[in-house]
Amino acid sequence: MNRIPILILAFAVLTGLCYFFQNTPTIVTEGLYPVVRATNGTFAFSPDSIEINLREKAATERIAVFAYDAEQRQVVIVKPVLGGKTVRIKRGDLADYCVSLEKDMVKGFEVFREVAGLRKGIDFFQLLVEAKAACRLYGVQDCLYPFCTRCMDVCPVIKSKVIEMKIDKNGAFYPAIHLAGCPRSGKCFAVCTVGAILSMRKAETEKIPTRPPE
Amino acid sequence: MSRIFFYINVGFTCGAIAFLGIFPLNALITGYPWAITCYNCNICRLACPVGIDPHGFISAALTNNPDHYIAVSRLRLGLAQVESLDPEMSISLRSVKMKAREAVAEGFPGETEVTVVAMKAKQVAKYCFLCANCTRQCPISLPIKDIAEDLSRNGGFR
Repeated sequence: MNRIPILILAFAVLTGLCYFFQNTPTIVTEGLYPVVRATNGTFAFSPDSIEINLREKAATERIAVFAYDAEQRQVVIVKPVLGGKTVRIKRGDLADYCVSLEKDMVKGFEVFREVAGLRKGIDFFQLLVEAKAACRLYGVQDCLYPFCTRCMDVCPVIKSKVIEMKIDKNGAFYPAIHLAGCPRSGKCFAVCTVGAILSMRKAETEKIPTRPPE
Repeated sequence: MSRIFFYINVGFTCGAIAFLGIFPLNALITGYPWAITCYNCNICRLACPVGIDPHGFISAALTNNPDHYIAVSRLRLGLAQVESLDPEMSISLRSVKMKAREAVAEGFPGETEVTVVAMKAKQVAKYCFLCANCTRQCPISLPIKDIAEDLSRNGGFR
């Protein structure tokens, strides 16, 4: 008896079953223009800790704090926001990841992993102190680019460069949205879990400061 | 071969097949049948910017258990928050590993920042940024982010 047709049939039935039972999340959108949150903070340096006071309430419970090192890499730590507005960096806090840049373009990125005896983590407190002393850029940002590119992944017209990732004068990554080409699909702010992109309605009702349109 | 060994051999083989069959069945029930194709290469573990082990989400889907503990390395939270979520959660405080309830019993204040070591899948999903970097780095493009999204929205599988 030829078993090949039976095997093919069994494979087809299995694939169909898998497809039928597959769970795929849907994106529910509002269909409005997106705006980009402007996040800023003031840094207070003391011998053992650095306190960052955010000007506005943070979008989420955690925020990315960055500082540029001597090799012009953006080194980032994701820290919890205390009381919605304060972030504290202590001595010994190890950086999470870094982004290598070349003329404001991303060259590469890597997650830091401490390996005993092989690789030591980067003390972010020390890096911030050095960045301040050497007049290098440091600050806070919402966007986790280049790790997160969800807004660009879901944008239906991304080929027209409606969303571009830029670095502002403070050294922070932000999504620059060209409203002229935006089809108002609303997908970018529906998937942005860090709160960097939000709907115009939310920004107006909650009086959230936003960046000027591109 | 003695007949008794034949029956033992067949019995244990059937038992092993039945046991291994639980995983694809659970994967079908949870809605992520592709989870059985993960070969645990651990590349996703190196991709998460907040130190979550995304393979843990796949393990949770394979076992149909949203309470499955996932390894986390750089998730920093307040002690009070951690204790209210799960007193049995493993945390690292001043480089010492302990349970959240033990840290509270030792008298550390609630606002002390701790680093989570192991956390339940349904709770980790709430702290995942859903950046999908694990999905992009996966050599066979498994949509791991979908499991985290499902868990963060519904707190469990369907």
